Amino acid sequence: MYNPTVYALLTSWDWRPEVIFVLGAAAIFYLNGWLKLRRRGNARLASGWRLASYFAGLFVLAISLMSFVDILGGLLFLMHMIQHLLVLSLAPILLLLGEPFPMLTWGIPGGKRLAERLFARRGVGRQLLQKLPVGGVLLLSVGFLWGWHDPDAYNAALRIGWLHDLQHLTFFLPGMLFWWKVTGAAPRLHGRSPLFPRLALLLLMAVANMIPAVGISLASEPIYTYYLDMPRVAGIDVMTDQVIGGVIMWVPGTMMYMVALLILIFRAFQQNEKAKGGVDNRRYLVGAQAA
Amino acid sequence: MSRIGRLSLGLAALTFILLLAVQPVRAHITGTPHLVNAPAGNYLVTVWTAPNPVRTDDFHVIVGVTRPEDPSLILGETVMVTAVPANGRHPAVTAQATHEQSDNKFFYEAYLEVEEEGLYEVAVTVGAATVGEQNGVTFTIAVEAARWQWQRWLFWSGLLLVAGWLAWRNLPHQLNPAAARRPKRQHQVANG
Repeated sequence: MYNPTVYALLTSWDWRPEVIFVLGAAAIFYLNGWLKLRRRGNARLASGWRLASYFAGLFVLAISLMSFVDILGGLLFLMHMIQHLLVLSLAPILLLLGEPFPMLTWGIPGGKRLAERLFARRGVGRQLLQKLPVGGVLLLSVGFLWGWHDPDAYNAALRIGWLHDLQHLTFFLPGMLFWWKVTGAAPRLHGRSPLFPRLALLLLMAVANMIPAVGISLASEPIYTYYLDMPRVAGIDVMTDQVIGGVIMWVPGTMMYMVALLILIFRAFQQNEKAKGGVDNRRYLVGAQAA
Repeated sequence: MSRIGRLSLGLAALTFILLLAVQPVRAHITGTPHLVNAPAGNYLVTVWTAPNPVRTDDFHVIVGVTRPEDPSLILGETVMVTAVPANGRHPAVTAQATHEQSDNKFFYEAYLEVEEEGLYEVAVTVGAATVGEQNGVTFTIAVEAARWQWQRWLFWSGLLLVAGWLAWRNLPHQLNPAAARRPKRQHQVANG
């Protein structure tokens, strides 16, 4: 049945050439590298699920930057919080699970030489990433997260287009850095014993995310006054919108970090079992299939 | 220049080209606000214009319509926009604002093309006027002369150049003598 509100929601798109160009180039170069690596017999690295994960990440970025998620972010605080969640966490996780570094290195013309130069023993990239402490990554992520949730900065970002783009860029890039440390994606310059710092990073980030989220959810007055001057969508008033937005930041936002934390702990236990010569479940699975 | 230097220069040029495409003011598909919840008969009207400044060949009026008893945006109304030049030298320009012309389909948008720069009084009307009732709102705006949009041209020609260069580099060696001269190198697998 035709619903004008749903129709308006689904057809609201802002086809931004600069976003399409960047995402398109990222897709083409990745696919090129993925195909080259597969042809060279590296099917384990260039696997189907990695390709799917990377393209899902690009899709999430496209949705968050050009669809109704972006357009309604100017009318609804809750939609803006969904957008931040996508740009800050979901897109970086999906992109990094696709191991973009080796694929892009092989896919971009001249990429191999550039990577060799940047990540040689004294290369700038290697120096920067190796010397970047976990605390620095945390400080960067929390700094931008808290800084942009200041009412003045937030209102200004909604009013000025380039500032809004800068906001997303300063969420996405530290987000990539943060999740690079957590997922252990290439380039593998994470240090010898990265588990404990990674767990601490996730736990501290979860707490840092909860602090403004709880504050926003429990506030008794509108914090982001930009929305007071905007017409409302689907009867959601400013205060309800703010509470829902705060809860989105609080619950799913924090859950991302907690789920990642549990996965890391689970994997650490698995590796520990294997190291002790414990039960290798894969053998049983193979046996079951054979039977 | 070294290969790294060329690549860095290329990346810098590409970043500049991309920056040209970023719309400087129009955040969230609205623009410069002129009226916020201004009464227009049975409706409340919020009006923005874009870009900033508006020009004779690039003059968009974006309208959000609500009712006083319900602040939710109303869809499917007839919204008309009229720009009347303050100097009276040219006739008024009228256009219907529609959802189709707006990226945000909850709003109405009209594109006006006016004769010359100067001050304009813009009237926005919603629905049909009832007897003795004013169903419109007005505001005044300065329109600037049209300008050649070099950023847009530079953006698309820059992209075309990059695409052409990439295509040339990847042409078969028989067609591209420069590629034929390049020695083939064996690289290690760069997997971090």
